[in-house]
Amino acid sequence: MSDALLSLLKFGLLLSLYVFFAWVLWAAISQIRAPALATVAAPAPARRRRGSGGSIVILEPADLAGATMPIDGSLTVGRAAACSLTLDDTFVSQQHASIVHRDGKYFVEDQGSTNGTFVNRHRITAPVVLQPGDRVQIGSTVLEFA
Amino acid sequence: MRSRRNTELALLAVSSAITCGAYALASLGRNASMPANLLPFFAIILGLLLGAHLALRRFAPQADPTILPVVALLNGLGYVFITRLASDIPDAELLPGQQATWTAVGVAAFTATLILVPRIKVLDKYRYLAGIAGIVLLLFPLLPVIGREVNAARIWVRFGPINFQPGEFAKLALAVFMASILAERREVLQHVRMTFGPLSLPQPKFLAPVALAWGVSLLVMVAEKDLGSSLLIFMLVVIMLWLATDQVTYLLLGFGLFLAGGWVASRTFGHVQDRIDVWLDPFSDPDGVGFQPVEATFALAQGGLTGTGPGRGEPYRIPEVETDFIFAAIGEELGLVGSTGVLIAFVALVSAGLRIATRTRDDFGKLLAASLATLIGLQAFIIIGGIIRIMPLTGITLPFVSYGGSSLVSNYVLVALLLRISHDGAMRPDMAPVDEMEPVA
Repeated sequence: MSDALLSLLKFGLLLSLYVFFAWVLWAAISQIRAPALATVAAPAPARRRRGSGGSIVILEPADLAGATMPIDGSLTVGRAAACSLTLDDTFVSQQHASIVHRDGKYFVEDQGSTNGTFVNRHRITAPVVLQPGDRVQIGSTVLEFA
Repeated sequence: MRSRRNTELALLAVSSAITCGAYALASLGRNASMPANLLPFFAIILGLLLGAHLALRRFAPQADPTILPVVALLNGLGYVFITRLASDIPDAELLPGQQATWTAVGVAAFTATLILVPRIKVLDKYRYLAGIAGIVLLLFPLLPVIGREVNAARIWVRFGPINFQPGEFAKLALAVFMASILAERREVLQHVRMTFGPLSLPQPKFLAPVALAWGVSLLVMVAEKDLGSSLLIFMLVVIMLWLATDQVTYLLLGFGLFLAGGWVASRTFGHVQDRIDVWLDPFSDPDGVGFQPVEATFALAQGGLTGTGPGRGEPYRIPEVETDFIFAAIGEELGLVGSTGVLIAFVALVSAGLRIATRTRDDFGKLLAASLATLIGLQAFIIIGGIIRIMPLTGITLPFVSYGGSSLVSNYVLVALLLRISHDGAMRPDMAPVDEMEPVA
């Protein structure tokens, strides 16, 4: 085989190497551009709204996002129809958690649920005082205290 | 996010095509004929990569799409050069088969890592086990009977027919251990400090486990005369301390210690002084200790801008060209353009690792991702830097490219961990893990 042809093939190989790297670079850039927190970014402004407390806003799931519920003295969350906030989620227990207004503070307490109640991503083991902006997660539902 | 895996699949197709092109071209360059086994070769490469790709689809679907294709390219290019060199080096006809087998073992280890480590947090729990495993693995070659000395370095272990370098896995275990300790103590390291004049350092007691592991591993590697790995672990720990604390003091202190240690070592150990002399002037003894670097320099010069073409150079003149010096063979036959491509591949891997680190919320995952990226980058830097003589040569393999089973398998485990962290980091960061919850009846 002629040297010229081999050289040509070699150039082709080197060129394809750099085409590959250009593609890798493009894939890397589109990774950076893609919003990592797409589903969570939208309700973020609500967090800044320093409410006086006394209500919860649903952040997740997306189809209920923005719905607000007042906490009149107390509020129960669970899968049972008798709860103030009924969640149709297989990860949620019948009586999952409650939020209670006591001595001017709002406490969230787990009611012995299977999968636990999370405040700002930490699973709670005792009643926790809520501050405006705190996020309470029950199953795949995220609530914000406002 | 199926699109990440689709991007990966497309990139894998391109990198396998490049590997096969290089394989065919190397055969054409040597024998003016197409390799008879091109199709089976292509099928095996595709099969292995597809296996790794499907493992990611199943076990880490959100992971970064660029890492596996770049690894596949390096591994494939390395394999082409090992095959091409094997026909010119005496007693080397088994190398390609062995490298192919090790690649299969590497892909299996990659898949097993993804399955055994469903979340990177799992490793955090086994930090002391990892630390002890790292030290024990390093000590293995010093044991009688199974430990073996090759080329004055005692870094090999033999179990029946299988030889391997446990040090390659010790690096990973030590990185996990140190990332876990440093992540846990990050805040005390930053805020509880002692001052010595202009220096402000954390209280030594918080760093004790890291200092212990570091000291012991360096002692062991120095005893085994494994200069490359000593340098690698030394630099890794300095960089990890800097990453964990954001104190540039560590880099300066590390550099000072490195110079002091290097000076002492060159005075104490003849082999260290030899390396420095050869680095400064290889041509003073071109047929003796300078032979390898001189031949590598000639190979790079012969390659010029675009190389002699695969299969058309004489890189087999360099001793150890299939392992430590494979970069010189690529430089000769693909030239500056091709060897720069190898550098770009490593830059792509390191930058993917750092990208993953910045996206991960959890301190342990963040620090581990950054250290794994650092490990790959440092390994490539130490050996390529030695070959092109910007620093003294210390024998170490070029990750994924060099011939060598231990290195290949341990680096596949390394990227599997990186991809696992990438998958974790891409998950919803502000929610507790719903996928770990049990459905309620």
